[in-house]
Amino acid sequence: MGKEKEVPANSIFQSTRLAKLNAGVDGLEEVLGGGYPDGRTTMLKGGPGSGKTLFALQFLYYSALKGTPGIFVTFEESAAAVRENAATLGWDFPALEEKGLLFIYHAKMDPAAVTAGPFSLNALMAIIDGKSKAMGARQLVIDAIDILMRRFDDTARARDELNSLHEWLDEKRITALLSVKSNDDPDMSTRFGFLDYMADCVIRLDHRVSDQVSTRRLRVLKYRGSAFGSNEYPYVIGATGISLVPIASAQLAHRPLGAYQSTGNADLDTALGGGHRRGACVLIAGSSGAGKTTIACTHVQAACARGEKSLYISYEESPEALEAAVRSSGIKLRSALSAGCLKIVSRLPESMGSDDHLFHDLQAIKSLQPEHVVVDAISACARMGTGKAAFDYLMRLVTACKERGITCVLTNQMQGSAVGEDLSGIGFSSLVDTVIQLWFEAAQDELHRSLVVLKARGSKHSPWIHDLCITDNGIKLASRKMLAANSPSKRPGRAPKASGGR
Amino acid sequence: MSRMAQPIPYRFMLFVAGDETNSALARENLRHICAEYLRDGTATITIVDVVEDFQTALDNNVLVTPTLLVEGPRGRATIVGNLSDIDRILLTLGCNN
Repeated sequence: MGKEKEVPANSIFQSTRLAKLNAGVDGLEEVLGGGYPDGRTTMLKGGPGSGKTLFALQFLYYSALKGTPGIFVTFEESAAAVRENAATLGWDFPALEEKGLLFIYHAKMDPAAVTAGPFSLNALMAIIDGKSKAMGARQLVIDAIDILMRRFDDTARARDELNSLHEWLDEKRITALLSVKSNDDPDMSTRFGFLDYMADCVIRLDHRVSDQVSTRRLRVLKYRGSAFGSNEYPYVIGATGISLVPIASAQLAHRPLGAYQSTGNADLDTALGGGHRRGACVLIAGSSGAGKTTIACTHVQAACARGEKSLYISYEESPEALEAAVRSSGIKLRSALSAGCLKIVSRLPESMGSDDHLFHDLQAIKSLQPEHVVVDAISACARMGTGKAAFDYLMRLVTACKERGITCVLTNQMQGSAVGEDLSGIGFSSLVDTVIQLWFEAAQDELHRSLVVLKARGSKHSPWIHDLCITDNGIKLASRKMLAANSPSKRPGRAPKASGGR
Repeated sequence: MSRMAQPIPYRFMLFVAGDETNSALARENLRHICAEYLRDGTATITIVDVVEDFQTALDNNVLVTPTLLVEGPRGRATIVGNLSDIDRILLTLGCNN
């Protein structure tokens, strides 16, 4: 039945662009393609502790700060409680109320009211209408509308009344957020399920706890006439309100690449056009044993020598094994560890979910405050569950690093040795600033390690293929400039920037 | 009965929304109840049209129409709906004998 309503909405989408209003929540703009639909009704559904009320209040608060007045009608809390809650986030509601930018109304219905015949919500509409005219407000929140609906004896009546309220709001071109409690109770969903059809935009908020980790997820169930991000998006309730934990669309918050810093190897610095840029995401891709970990540890050692901190997330080796493995190449992680400038965390990818991995890593970043983060190897992250989980984990980790100006070094173990297109293996190359590829090459009777810088954003990097030697005293690079210059295109799989390889 | 000597007055405040059907019915039903069941002069009726005066509705937490706020011998009461359920109303008013 509600489906019928969606036909005209589609045509609106085709003919006009929907105006949207800023939701006031970091990251939600991108998910909603701009914000809540202007002049329309958005439903916020969620269980206890999901932050429904806060989402709604945040919308009004940030609008009011910009001088746009709003009305908050709550069926649940007293106005004093709303003000108190807001104050804990540093939001000064009384000041906004005084300026006529905010009106908080506790719609407290007499719980002992006797019903003697049919009634309608005309009085509520009259109050909203009168207040909105007096304040010039076109933004409205009705919090806990399920409480209002319970006042109706039967669901059909409640539905009719809510529908006429919705039509009236539409007619008045009021941008409304309605919050409704939802849980897994099937009775609730049959009683209130029609709300999903009615509203123009439906956002579901979910608060779950697994393995002692509390996570909150947001999902847009529908958005009439607009495209929207259809994934589940994590969000947090922080000290100043709600923000979405960035996944894929947070590039806006990334810090620009900083100054050059040494990789710990002069030859590699030269090949990269001066070293790594601070805050860059560096991907070292290559086959097993080609030297990825050695290069990553060289980086860490150099950082420590400069007095900078590194977090090394190892999915392949224990801290002891890692330390011992690179010791033979003259890299001394032990002194870095004891100096407190290196922290190695070693976990099996399958030991917990990707959210939990991320949670632990973000906590470690928070407490250590590193300038460098190494993930060795991202190819192991797929074992956290699905490829999608690995992608989200890395995307969110790298994004968190980029926002803090932390340099990321990711290693990726690849099958084969061809110069491929997606060296990250999971398709987030756009986040990667620098790509170094390593592979083995047979030359006469021995295998040579080869290295090429495929990409170094913002740097004049060397296009040449290098021989990579791992000595007792670190790595050495020798350019095969002449070789490559003579016949770059005749050597499939060796020419830099080649595409179409595996 | 004490009712003879000192009738306790009823004060009614009926909130309506213009002349929509249920509001019109509520006015009619209230008039009927006063005429049939309450003694002359014991009831005062104030009609508030929320379309004209939203502030009074807001101040009294009246969100639905029709709403009848009652002050009577049994104290305060709120009755919502078009007042068609006479028995229920009389019970609430305490004059169903």
